[in-house]
Amino acid sequence: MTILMKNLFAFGSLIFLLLNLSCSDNKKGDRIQTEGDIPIPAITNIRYAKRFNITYYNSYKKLTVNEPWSGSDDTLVYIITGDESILEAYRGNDDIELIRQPIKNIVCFSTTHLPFLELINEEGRLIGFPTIDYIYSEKIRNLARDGKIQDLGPSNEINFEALLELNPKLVMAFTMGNELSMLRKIQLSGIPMVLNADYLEDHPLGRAEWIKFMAAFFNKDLIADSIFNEIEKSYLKTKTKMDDFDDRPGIFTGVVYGDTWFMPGGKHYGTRFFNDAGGHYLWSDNESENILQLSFESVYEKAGSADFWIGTATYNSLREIEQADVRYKDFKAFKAGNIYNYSARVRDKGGNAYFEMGYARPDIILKDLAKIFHPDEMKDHQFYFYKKLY
Amino acid sequence: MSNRLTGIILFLLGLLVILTVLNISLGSVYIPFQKILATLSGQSIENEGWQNIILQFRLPKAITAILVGSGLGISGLLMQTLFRNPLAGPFVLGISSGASLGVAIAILAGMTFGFSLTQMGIGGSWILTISASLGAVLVLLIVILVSLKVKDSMSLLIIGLMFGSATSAIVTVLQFFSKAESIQAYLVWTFGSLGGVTWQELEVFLPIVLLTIFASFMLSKKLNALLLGDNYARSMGLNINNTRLLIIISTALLAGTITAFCGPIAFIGIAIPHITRLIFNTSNHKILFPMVVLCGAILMLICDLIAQIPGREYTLPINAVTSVIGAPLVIWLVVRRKNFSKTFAK
Repeated sequence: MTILMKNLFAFGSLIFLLLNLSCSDNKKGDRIQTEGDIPIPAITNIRYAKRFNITYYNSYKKLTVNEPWSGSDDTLVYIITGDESILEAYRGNDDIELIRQPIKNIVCFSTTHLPFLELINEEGRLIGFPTIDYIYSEKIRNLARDGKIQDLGPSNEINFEALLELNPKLVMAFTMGNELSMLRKIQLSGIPMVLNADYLEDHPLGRAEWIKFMAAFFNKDLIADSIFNEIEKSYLKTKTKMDDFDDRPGIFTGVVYGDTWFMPGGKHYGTRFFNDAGGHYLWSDNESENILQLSFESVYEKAGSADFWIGTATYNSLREIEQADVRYKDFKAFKAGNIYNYSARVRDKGGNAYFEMGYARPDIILKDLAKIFHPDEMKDHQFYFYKKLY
Repeated sequence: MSNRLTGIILFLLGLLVILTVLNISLGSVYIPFQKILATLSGQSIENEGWQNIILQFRLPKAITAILVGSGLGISGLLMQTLFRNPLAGPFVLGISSGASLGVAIAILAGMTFGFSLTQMGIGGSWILTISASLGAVLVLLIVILVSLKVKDSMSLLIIGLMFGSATSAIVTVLQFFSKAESIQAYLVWTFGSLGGVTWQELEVFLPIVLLTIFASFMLSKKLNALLLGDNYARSMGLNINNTRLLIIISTALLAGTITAFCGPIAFIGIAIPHITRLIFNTSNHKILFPMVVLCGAILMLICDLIAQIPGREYTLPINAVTSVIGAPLVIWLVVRRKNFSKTFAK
């Protein structure tokens, strides 16, 4: 199958090549058109992710990331290629970042990037990470233990000199808009850097689709495409199964900090899981994509008789919840013992599988939640991210 | 007591009662007024959710607001008199900075080094309370030791300010090395919170604040003497060192406990004594003390009422409200009374 597809692509590009030779009008005056500069049929279509796109050309890929952080109106353009003539043609264009292949090694700034690397079997390329202690993956921790991955210090203040010394072929960073000066410094140093905006996607499968973004740099586009298709299939299978349920338990999430209960809005990425898993998120009518800041009493009024409390931040037992605020005990979910937290797999120093792998494997999150809401339907599934609190 | 004074006091007392009922009546969740009165008078109403909201959420919050307002007002008054400086407040001795440092260490360092106090069997809110108290007590002990050495109140004021700067700097350094989530948790604490105090915590909070306020009432006469200068006070047979020590301990207990339970509540401590002096045009502590308690409670109830944004699900941080309300109020009063410095006797 793979070989066949590759042949097809080779054939297709040959035709485009011939076509291009016949009509060689140079549209863009700012750079020289080369024979590799022909769009070819996409290896993968981006279907859920809204923040990035890949256009395939004969000898390079154009990767765009729009709105790389919330509120930004930038579109970042990356040209990925191993073809020197393409690199030469684009050189000097400030709006385009050139990524030279092969990418022998990479530094990632977020744990959410790591599962993508692992899924396409490229985790051995990771040579640097900020605060390795926060990584959950056993495989990558072992690589770090063998001295293959350099710790780059706290993520909000990367050890810049260590990064320079490491001189990676690619840095995959992310920003919420406030670390731009540090990122600019990396850019000025000449280390190729791309911004990953997976955390801004509003659909769980949109976040998972960023595996294609990661794969593009390592030419594993086809593999990423088939892995994503499997994840999508698995997600939709669970969702379809759960869509049939009319009897949906009421769901709420979060805890009080100070006087404020931080509750995701009805259009927030995380809350889609609750409804797709056959539950009814109590704030579904809300139109916000952000976290709402609610008063304790309004949450008590609305969620006091809800069936399930999913996600309790740092609390991992009923006793801790009760000690934090005795009023939590008045919730029906507490009385019934229906409280679950995403802390089934954690490491002593802060690694948490849910936060690390959740973006890449929304299908597992959905299965976990479906098992919580409708246990009889999910007997074969073992909890992965979530655990019941006692 | 003049008729005018009695009138003002009666008015304020009435206002306090009305605001307390109003504070309990209004909130994010709409509850009919009759149900509120019924619940408060001890009857049980059919809607158990509403009853819980009134008794478990709003009533302890209203009591906390009253305690915080009067407690911070009194400690501000004590500090302004001790230092004979209108800019002094409950936190000049570095008490809130000490409490912040305690909380910062618990939240920031605790998460960074991977140990969690919850695993040691202490509940969430108590961790913050205990670490804030420890931080405040630590600074208090240092201040007391210094106050025994340094006889001059002004030097003590400067030393307190230095403590504040130094501890804030340590907190900044800690933040630098912490994860975004822990910094956020710390920042949320600095916004202040009245609603986090439950009956369980009130069992500790209420007696400490009430007893300390009552104990500092006993100092009124000595404070009046202090206002006229250390030498004059000494000539009246006042043991200045003892009085100073008592004032410092009372302030630290009030400001420390309140900060521990509610976070560093801004502005109230400085504003309340000024507002009271300006309303009553006096510097006699026998009048100032009870009136500061009254005004502090009233202002805090108003601030909390605004922070709740009645009828909406959302809330504002109490600290933002106290500053936004407090600052213009003091400016307005000071501008209206042009002889402000005379009210604040030298």
